[in-house]
Amino acid sequence: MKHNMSFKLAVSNIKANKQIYLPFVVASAITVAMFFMIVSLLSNAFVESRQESLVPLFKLGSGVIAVFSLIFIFYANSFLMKRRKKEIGLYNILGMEKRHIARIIGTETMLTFLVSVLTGLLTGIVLGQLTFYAINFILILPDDFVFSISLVPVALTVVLFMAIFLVTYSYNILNIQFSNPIELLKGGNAGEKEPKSSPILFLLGLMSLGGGYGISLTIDDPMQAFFLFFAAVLLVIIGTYLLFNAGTIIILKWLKKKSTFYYTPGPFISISGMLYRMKQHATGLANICVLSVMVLISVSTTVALYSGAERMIEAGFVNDNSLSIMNIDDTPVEEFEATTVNNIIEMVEQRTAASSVEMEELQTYKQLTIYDNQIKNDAFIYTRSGQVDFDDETSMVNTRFISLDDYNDITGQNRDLNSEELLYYESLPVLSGDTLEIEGIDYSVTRLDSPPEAVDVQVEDRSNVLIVFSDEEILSSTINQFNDYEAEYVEELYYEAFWNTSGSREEKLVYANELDELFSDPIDDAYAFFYNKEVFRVNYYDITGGFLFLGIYLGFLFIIGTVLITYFKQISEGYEDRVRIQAMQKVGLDSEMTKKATRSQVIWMFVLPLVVAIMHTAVAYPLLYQMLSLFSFVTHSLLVTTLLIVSLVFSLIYGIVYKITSRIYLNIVE
Amino acid sequence: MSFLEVKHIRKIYSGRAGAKETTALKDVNFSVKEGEFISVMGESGSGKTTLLNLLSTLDKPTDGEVTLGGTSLTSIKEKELSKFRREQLGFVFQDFNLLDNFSLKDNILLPLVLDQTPIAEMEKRLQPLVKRLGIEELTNSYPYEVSGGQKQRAAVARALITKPKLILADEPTGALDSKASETLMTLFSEINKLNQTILMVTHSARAASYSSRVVFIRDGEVYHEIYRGDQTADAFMERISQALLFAFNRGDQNEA
Repeated sequence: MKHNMSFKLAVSNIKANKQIYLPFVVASAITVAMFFMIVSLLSNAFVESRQESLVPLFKLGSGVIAVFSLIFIFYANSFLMKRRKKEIGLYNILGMEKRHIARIIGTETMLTFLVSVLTGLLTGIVLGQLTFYAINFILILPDDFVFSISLVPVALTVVLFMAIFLVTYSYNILNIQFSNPIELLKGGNAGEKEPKSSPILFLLGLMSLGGGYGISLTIDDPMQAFFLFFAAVLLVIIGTYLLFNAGTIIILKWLKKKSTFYYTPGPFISISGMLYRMKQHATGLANICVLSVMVLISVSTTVALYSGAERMIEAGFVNDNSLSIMNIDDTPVEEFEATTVNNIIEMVEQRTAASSVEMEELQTYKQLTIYDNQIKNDAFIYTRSGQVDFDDETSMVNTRFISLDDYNDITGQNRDLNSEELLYYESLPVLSGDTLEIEGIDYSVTRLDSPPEAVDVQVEDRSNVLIVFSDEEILSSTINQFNDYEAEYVEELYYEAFWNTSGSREEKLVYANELDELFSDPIDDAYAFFYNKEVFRVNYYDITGGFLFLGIYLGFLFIIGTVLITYFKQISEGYEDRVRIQAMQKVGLDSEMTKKATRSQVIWMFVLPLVVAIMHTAVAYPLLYQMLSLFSFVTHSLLVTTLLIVSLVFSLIYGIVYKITSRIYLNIVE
Repeated sequence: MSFLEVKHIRKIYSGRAGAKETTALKDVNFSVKEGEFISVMGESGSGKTTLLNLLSTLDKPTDGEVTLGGTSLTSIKEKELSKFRREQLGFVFQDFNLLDNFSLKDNILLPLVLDQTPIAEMEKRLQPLVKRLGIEELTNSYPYEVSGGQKQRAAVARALITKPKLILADEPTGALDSKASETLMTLFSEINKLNQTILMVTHSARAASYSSRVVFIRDGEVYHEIYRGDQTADAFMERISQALLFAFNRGDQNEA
C-alpha cells in the first residue's frame, strides 16, 4: 500500500468519524494547553528571579498534570477505538492486512497528534497571556511579570504528548493484533462482562483514603503540614480512584440484590446501566472528583491568602503614610520636638507640595510601645523588670502609652483626667478591676470602647493595651522608671506623623519612593522611618504573590480540566447508552420513563463526585489551615467562609456545565 | 368482527419537500381471528416491514384503520402508545434486541418491570415460561454468553411474559441456523396451540409452513393467501413454495 493512499484513507476516516474525533481533538488540545501553561512557568523569568522557592512546586504541578494527561488521553482513546472497531474489522475482512491497518491508524494518530499539539500550544500561549494579564490586574506585580514563550516548554510539551500518543497507538495496535476480524466487527456492541466486585481493592482504597484523612486530621504543626501535604494528597487520590472503582460496584451490586427496589422501572434501567459500564464510569467520576478537589483547594486557599493579605495591609496601615521619628542623640525632649521634628514635618510638607499627590491633614503624636509586658492582678509588669512570668501567655500584653493631649488631638475629643486617672483599652480581657498599678502608682481606670485607629497596635493573638496618661510628665517619669531596670537599655518616645494623600496607586508609589530616599539617612539628630501602604503591599505580594499566582493559575487549569472531562464523559456515554435505550423503547419504554431513568442516572453521576470532593476538602481543612498559617495570618472564620463560598460557587459552575452537557447527552440518547 | 382487522390501509412516505412520494402500502386488507398463526410473506420492498410497523403502532397509516380486539390503533393517544405496546403486543425481532447489561431473567422481566408488576407476580410468570422454553438453566446468564437460539427463546419469553393479545414476529429465524429455527418454530406452534395469536413476517417458506395461514403481499398489496387446513407442514411448505414461484412468474409476465 502506498503512503499516499494510507494518508488519504486516514484523512477520510477522520472526516467520516468527525462526530467522535472532534471531541477527542478538542479534549487533547486543551490537555496540551494545560500542560504547556504550567510547564512554561518553570522557565518564566518572573518565576525564576522572584519565586525560586516555588519552582519545585511548579515541577510537582507539571508532574501531576502530565499524569493526568496520560490518564485522560488514554481514557478518551479507548472510547474512540471502541467506536471504531467495526470499521477496522471491515477493513480486515475486505482484505487489508493488519500492518496496513496499523499504518492507517498510525497516520491517523499522527494527524490527531499534530492538530492537537499545534492548537493546544496556540491555545496555551493565548490563555497563558490572558491569565497573566488577569492576575497582574488583581495583584499589580512588578513590570517583568509576563508570560514568556521559550523553546524548552514547547519541546517538553511536544515530547510528552508524543510519548502519550505513542503509548495509545501501541495499545491500539496490540489490541487489533490480538483480535480477529469477527470480534472487531462486533467490537462496538460486544457485550462487556459485568464487572466483578473486588473487596481487596475496596479495602486498599479505604486504607489509602483513611491514611490521607488521618494525616490531615492529626496534624498540628505548620512545617510538618507542608511536608506531609503531598503524601496526603497522593493517598487521597489513590483512595478515591480505588473506592470509586471498587466501591461503586459493590454498592450497585448490593442494590441490585434488593429485588423490591431493583425491579422498579427507574432503578432497573439506571442501576443495570451504571453497573454495565462502571469501570469506565468510575474512572471518569474519580477524575472529576479529584479535579474538583483541586479546584476547591487551590481557589479557596488562594482567596483566603489574598483576603488575609489585604486584611493585614489594612490593619497595619490605617493611613497611607506614616513616619516614626526617633531621637538618637539624647537631645532633651522639648528641644528635639521644637527643632528636629518640626523640621522633618516641614520637609514632608514641602516634598508633598512638589509631588503629584496632595496631602490630606497631617497629624502627629508621641508614643511609647513596649512588647511582652504582663498585666496580672491588676498590676502592670514591665518586660525588663525581671518579674514577668513568660509562661502565663494569657496575661501577656503589648502596650502603647500616649498622653491625653495627643489623644484629644487625634480623636478631636475634649476629655479631662486628673493625675491619678488614665484611659484604658484592651483588645482581650486582662484587667479585672477598676484600677491599674504602674510602677507603684495606682491609677483609676476609665475604659475606652475602642482605641483611636491611628494609635492601635494590631497583633492578633494577644491583648493589645492602650494607656493614656493625664499629661506628658507622668509619661516621661514612667519611662524613666522603666529605664532604671536595665542600665544598657533605654526606652524612647517616638514621634509619629501620619497622613493620607490623593492619587492613583502608581502616583502613590512614586511619591513613596521619593520620601523613602529623603529619609534613608539620619536627619540632624533623628532617624525617621517612613512607611507607605502601597510600598508595603507591593513588597508583601513580592513574597506571597507567587503562591497567589500559583493558586489562581492552577485553579483555572483544574476548572478547565473538570469541564473537559465532564463534557467528554457525557458525550461518550451518550453514544454508548443510545443503543440500549433505543432497544428498550422498542419493547415499550416510553420517552417519559427514558427521561426519568436517565435523569436519575445523570443526577447520581453529577452529585457523587461533587459530594465526595466537598468531603475531601472538608477533611483537608486542618492541613490547609496549618499550611496557610506558615505565610499569612489566616483565621478560622476567614478560611471557613472562603471554603463555603468557593464550594458554593464551584457547585454552581459545575452544575451549569453538567446541565449543558447532560442536555447533549439526552439529545444523543433520544 | 375479527380479532385483528386491517382495513384498507395505505401508507405513503413523503420525503423532504419536493422529493418524490413513495407508496409503501397501496391497499392492504385482511383480518386475523383470535388464536390464529398467520405468516406474511413477500420479497424485500413489498411492504412487509411497513405493515409490521403499522401493526406495532410504531407508525401510523396514511389511510385506513387497524383494530385489535375492537380498539382502533389510530385512536390511541401518543402518550399511551408505549403502554399499549407493552401490554397488548409482544415483539420478537430478527436481531433479538436483548440488552447486554441485563441477565436473561432481567431481559425477560423488562416489560413487567416497566409496568410496575409486583415481584411475586413476576416470579410466578417467569418460572413456567422459562421452563417451557428450555432456558431455565440460563436465567442468570448474560446475552453474550448464550447461543443465538437461546437468545431468541429469551426474546420470545420476553414477548410472552406480558400475556399479550398479539405476538408480532419480524423474521424471527433470520439470524438462526436450521436446527435453532426448527426449535423456535415448533415453539411458536406450541404457543399458538394455547390460543396465542401470532403474526409473523418471514422470508422463509420453511418457517411459514408452521403457521395456519400465509398472506402474500407484493408492491403494497395482498395478492394471495393460502390456508394450511389439515395438511402436514411439509405439504404446506410445498404449496407455499409454489405460490411464491407463481408470484415470481406472474411478476415476470406482467412486466413483459
